Amino acid sequence: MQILADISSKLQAGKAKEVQELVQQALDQQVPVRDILEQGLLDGMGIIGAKFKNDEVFVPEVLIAARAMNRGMEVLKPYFAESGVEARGRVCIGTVQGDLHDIGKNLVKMMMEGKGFEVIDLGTDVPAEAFVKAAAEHGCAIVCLSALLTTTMPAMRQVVEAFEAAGTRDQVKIMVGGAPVTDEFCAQIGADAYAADAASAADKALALLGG
Amino acid sequence: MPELRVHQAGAVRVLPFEGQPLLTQLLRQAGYEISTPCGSAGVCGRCGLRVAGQLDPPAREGRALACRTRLMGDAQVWLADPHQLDKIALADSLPLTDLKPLPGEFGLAVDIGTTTLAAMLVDLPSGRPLAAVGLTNPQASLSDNVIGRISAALEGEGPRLRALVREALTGLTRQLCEQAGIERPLHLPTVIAGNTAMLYLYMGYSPRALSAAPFEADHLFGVWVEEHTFLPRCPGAFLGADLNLALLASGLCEREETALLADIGTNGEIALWHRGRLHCAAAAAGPAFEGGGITQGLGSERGAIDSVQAVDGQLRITTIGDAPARGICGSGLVDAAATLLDLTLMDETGRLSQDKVALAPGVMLWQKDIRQLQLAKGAIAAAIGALCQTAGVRTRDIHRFYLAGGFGSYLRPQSAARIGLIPEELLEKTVALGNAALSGAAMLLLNQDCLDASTRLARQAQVLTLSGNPQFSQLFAERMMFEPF
Ligand code: B12
Repeated sequence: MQILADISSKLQAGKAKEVQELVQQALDQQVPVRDILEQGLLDGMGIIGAKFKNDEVFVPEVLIAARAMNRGMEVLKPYFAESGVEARGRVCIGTVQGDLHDIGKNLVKMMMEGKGFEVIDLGTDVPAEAFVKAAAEHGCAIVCLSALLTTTMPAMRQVVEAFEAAGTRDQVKIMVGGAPVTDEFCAQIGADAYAADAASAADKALALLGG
Repeated sequence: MPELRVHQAGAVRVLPFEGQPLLTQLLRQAGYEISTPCGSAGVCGRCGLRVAGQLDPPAREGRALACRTRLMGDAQVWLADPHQLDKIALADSLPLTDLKPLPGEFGLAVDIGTTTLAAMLVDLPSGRPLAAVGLTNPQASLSDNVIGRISAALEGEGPRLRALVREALTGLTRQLCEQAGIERPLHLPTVIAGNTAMLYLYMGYSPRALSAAPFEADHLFGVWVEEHTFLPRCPGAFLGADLNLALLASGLCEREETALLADIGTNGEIALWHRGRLHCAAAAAGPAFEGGGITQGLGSERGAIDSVQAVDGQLRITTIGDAPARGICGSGLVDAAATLLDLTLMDETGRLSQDKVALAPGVMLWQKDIRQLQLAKGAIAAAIGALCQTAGVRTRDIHRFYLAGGFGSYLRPQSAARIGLIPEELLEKTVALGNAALSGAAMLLLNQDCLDASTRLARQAQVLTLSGNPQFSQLFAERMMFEPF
């Protein structure tokens, strides 16, 4: 449908206002909410994500596309319940204790939302216990940890241990990332998955829930 | 026992080893410096070496990443020529208004840079510089970046780091005295500049406070330590005594006019002087300006492409030492980006028209290298913007723009403005200061009033925290674009 293709392309171009208007128009034309979400907003975000992963676009373009997605979401969200649209799952995300870098974490959040997840953002400098508590409180299936400093990477291990200590380690999948983090490190601390970029992170999250 | 044969400067050294050590481990134990800016994550490629023999993973096209490659049996490695003592250009005079030297005959000014140690011997009564030398900071054998050294200190290497820098300083002092033709004086007043972490490590203090949020230093110095060594005060945890002394040497805070000073490097330090107030911010840029994280990045070494220009639509490069191009250093990278923009081989979002560009035979610039440059230059440009906003200063109100530090001297301001690293409006107002921290340290030796002045300067500095600062984040996203601002 043309209007859905337009929503997707305007979103990719970061035109927040136009996306917002088009989503409203689509609703007015009785286009199903699920289609607007999946073939419009999520489609656009998915394409931006793939381009970002391939280095065709960079952080600024993703940020403005995400802003456009959020504007569209604001219009669409009130109709989710009545049309039976549900989130793919709940994720909580935060930058680990001692670390205040949040741009990478925010991108991961946006890409996860772009795959239809509901994301609880715990912010930066998040103590291990706060992850455990939030995961239990919100019923999160996936916990995402971000660290940009080699000196705060050990705090990721502490989060894994905190889940073990609380006896809830088997209820969540723990994902780790951030520039200095590697697959090897992920295995070392007993986390479940690592991804090098935000788009791959969202794909991995889907895979984790599927399998 | 299996052996590693190390070829360097025409000589071969044999290192027997046990087990299956990483190349970096064995080489560093033997005292070689191997640079691993990405923290041995195997991503930056800086530790790539020419190798042969039994290695895991096996060499690819005769090369391997030292940080990721284990020795499985006899092998060989070829290293670049060792760093030599650099002759440092000696200023004829120092920026001094009054001569009020510390008591004594000679004085020693030192700058402990993360990469380079620089020292100068001055004749105290006359204020004349006698000799100056530089040397690679030997702490680089443990890690070449500040955070890596902080981690090493926290893992028990503090005493070794302290000893390494002190031994090197003893050596430099001997060298300086020889050059000046004097006996090493018993009494040698010394001023040591450096970033906050370097001063911690010099003293052997635990740098735990510098390793995680809230990054509040528990020592800021501004004190005499030992018999006659003064460590100038640091404005903050990532705003060092070197910044303080560069400010002092520039004389910027003695004038009425609004001025900006930037030390662009892995850790960018920016200061803005406006209406009698000093605002400072530390902007982590990452190692791109030193060639780190760039596929074929190099420090300022022979064979590094250090300038790129377009002549008749063609790329024209120069290299350090006019040697065949082997890679690219920071100033070359900034130039390359500006030139690619001019030739429309890259757009303002940083997208290359092909996935890589050949700068010289065998030297490529990749899309991902451009992305690293965008992060680095975005952080510096955003910090400048955030400081100006905080102080309520418009760029055009800035009278002078000082570039401190080594990189600032090599950088071509036109290219820097073209890619949006420094404000375009300040192009004509740019002054390169070189190693101003060292001249600043000498000033403290030669004018006792400067000792207090430096402490006052650091104390009055208002540090703008960029972490969690929404203005900074907004500007950072905008200024990652290659657009003049
Ligand atoms: C911007 C920046 C800052 C900003 C942060 C602003 C903000 N709101 O985040 C400011 C200036 C405040 C800052 C401060 C500091 N910084 Co800083 N910073 C950077 C910089 C330039 C870019 C980081 C960034 O945003 N990258 C872009 C994002 C998109 O990439 P990313 O975070 O890696 O995320 C991607 C992936 O990793 C992945 N990902 C991220 N999180 C997750 C999570 C999961 C679960 C998954 C699967 C994937 C994933 O997806 C993302 C998108 O693809 C880097 C240097 C560089 N060139 O990289 C230094 C850098 C990270 N900083 C560094 C340092 C040292 C600091 C300071 C300690 C020092 C200082 N000078 O002030 C402070 C400490 C602040 C603190 N308390 O944490 C160092 C770290 C060195 C080390 N060995 O640890 C770096 C590398 C610079 C350097 N000196 O070399 N910094």
